[in-house]
Amino acid sequence: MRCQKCGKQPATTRFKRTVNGVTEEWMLCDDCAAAMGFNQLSFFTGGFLGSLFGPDILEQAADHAIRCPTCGTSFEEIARTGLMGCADCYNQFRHRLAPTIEKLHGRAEHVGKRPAGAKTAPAQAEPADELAALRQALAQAVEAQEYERAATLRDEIRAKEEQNHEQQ
Amino acid sequence: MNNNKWYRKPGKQGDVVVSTRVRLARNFRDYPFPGKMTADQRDDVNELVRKALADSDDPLAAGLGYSAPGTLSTDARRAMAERHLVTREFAESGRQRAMLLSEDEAVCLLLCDRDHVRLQVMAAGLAPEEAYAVADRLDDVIGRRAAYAFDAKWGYLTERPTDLGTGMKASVLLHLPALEATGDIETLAKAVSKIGLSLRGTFGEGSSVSGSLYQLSNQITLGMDEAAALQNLQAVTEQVIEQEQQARQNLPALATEDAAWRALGLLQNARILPVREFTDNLSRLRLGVSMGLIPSVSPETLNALNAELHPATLLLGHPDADSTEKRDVIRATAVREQLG
Ligand SMILES: [Zn+2]
Ligand SMILES: [Zn+2]
Repeated sequence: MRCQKCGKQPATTRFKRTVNGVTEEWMLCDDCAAAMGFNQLSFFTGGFLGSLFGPDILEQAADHAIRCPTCGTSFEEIARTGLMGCADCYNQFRHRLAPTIEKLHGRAEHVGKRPAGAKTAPAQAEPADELAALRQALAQAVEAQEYERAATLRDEIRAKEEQNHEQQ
Repeated sequence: MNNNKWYRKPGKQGDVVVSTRVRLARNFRDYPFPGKMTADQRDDVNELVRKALADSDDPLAAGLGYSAPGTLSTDARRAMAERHLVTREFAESGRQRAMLLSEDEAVCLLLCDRDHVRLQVMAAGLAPEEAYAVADRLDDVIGRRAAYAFDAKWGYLTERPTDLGTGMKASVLLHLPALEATGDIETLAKAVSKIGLSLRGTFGEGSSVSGSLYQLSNQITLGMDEAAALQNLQAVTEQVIEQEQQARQNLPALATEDAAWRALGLLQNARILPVREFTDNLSRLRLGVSMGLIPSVSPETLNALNAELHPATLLLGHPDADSTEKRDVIRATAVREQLG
């Protein structure tokens, strides 16, 4: 389905708003949704804060819904409830969550206690993990026809690969 | 009654700081978060945590009392909320959860509610590092038994992204009658919010701040380690204490002393004591006791009264106290007994 606003890009999100009892509903592309100030980020945060955005709801179009392979939770559900389904959801939706987490916590990385089992391995393992996560996100973006996101991810992957190459 | 409870012990800076609380949020890697758990998975996690603690060499861990889901009545959970062991929201929710509680009530674990484990440690007075040390120790006991959900970048993974990182919330309960009287609380709240802390009033039944008690807590969980967050809380608390003490010096001395003695007189003599009147007078008396005006009353006695005489807690000890009127009479009697 095409975006109902621009009629060009594929619609990825269903946008619903109730104003004075009148409900409007559109299928929009990412760009148009963002242009109207209703990107996923703000809705996600709105989910935490409950009524920040009142009765507005933003849903991932059903046929584009990507689910966590471990627990079956979709990103739409996470965005709506503010609750993650399982630990793997963080990996599965890493790139979509990152901006929101940055909004909540700033550009921060964990420091402090680690579980006994986790030790300090990630320093070595992280680049590969991150690449794998990026590639997975790319695959999802392509599948969901989110081409602009896909392009950004592809560039990110290339940069990472080159960086890794130089280091080795 | 309850002579071994943590709040009956004297605490550092007890003239302003009533208590300290540290809470850790933890989840296991191999189970979905509570919102997605099946009944069987809940049972598994409850049992896993219970056993990890019970089998431990650590006497504190092994000595925790376990209550299975559904064994605590709404009244019992409300009473726990009054003593800051669980949230009011949880107490009213009707959600049936397993819990572990130490005999002195300093340690409380809530399982499979928000996050698999919410481990909480309370201490009298200002003691963030001491409380954390206990939480840290118990956390290790559980963490040795099963792998926690952890991410190198985001730290301990929690059901809500708001708690990511250390998963630690540390807070102190402060008695700030003088800063409240001078109207400086709001300015203070704004100032501490800029350095990653929050200052909020605690509310009883009404909408006004109950007994001039305020909660100061850390807001940053990602990008600041436990030690730094605790130090930050400690340092800011010390500054707030200093400001409160300064403001106390500027209060009209005779009026403060008069109010404290009147409060003691009322508490020692009332036959019917509604909760609001009780908290208001306890606050006035506490101020007098803290300023050394009333040597016959100890701060620990006041903490015990505050912990034990709210409606639901009162109901636990007196099952017949099934109406507000009856509770107000029992409260008055208990207060008279404790204040001699
Ligand atoms: Zn469009
Ligand atoms: Zn998941």
